[in-house]
Amino acid sequence: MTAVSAGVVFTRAGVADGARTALPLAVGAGIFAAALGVLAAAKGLGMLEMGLMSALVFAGASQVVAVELWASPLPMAAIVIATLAINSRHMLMGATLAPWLAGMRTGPALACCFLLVDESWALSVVRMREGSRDAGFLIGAGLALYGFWVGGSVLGLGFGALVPDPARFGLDFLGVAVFLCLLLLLRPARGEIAPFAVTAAATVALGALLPGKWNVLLGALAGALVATAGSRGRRT
Amino acid sequence: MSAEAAGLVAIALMAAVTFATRAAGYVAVRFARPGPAVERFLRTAPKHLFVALVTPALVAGGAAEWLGAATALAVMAASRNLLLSITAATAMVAVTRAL
Repeated sequence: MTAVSAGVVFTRAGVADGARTALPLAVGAGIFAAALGVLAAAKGLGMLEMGLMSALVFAGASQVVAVELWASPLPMAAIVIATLAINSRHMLMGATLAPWLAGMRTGPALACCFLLVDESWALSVVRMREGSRDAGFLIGAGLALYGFWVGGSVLGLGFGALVPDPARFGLDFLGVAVFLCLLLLLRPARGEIAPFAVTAAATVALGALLPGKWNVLLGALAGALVATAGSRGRRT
Repeated sequence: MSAEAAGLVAIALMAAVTFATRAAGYVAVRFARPGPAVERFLRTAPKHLFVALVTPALVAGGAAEWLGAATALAVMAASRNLLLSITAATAMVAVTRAL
């Protein structure tokens, strides 16, 4: 066990725990990645491009949009702007993991950042809030998702005909189910219902106005600000 | 620029932009030294991110998604078992869609 600072530790057991916990979600992500690979093959992306994109970008929704936009000549600005719009939500996710990340050296903290996706963030932030001091969990969860994501997309591109439609198994709902369950684990209080309504309404309204997933970032910001203003002096 | 080179440049730019979004929150908190109000905000923000992540899918969805959401919440409240809850919820969505 290696102490980092501020009581945050980083252990092999934590990495294993994160990988084990994320495994079912990683398998689901792998099937999605395979479906992305099928789309990529139809759009003319090669194995090298697909593998590099999954390995370096590692962000599902933005990769789907990039592959859909893939054409000759390549609409590079549109792809990059869409990537920023879709992945903007990571900014708030990274900030909420501050108690873990700020206690680590910069190198490992940035490695954790690289592995931050919706699912690894969600599982990790709940684990952190349950009192765990072991930031290895985020690396383990992230690596499990990473392996299945990169492998799935390359295999999908190579063996497209064998890939089933994820929606047939309800796998497109996996993320929603996970986030609802984890919300429950964070024990929302009765007084938070009104701020949640602000978040939901802002997310829907902004979704009609803005591209990508700016609405997820800005909707959550709006509701969390309302909740923070209303909770002055008491604990949430 | 050849098509191959353009593709690789696009992927590199996507990777840079995405990593910037991932590191921005950490860098901000690390160097801005947040006060108590920001800490309260960061404590409540995850719940709001969860709400913001699920709302578009539930608004756009129909009976299958709503039954799936109800199943996820009910099984989780009763069992506190994440794997069981998400398995039941996705099965509910798949079965409802197949009907």
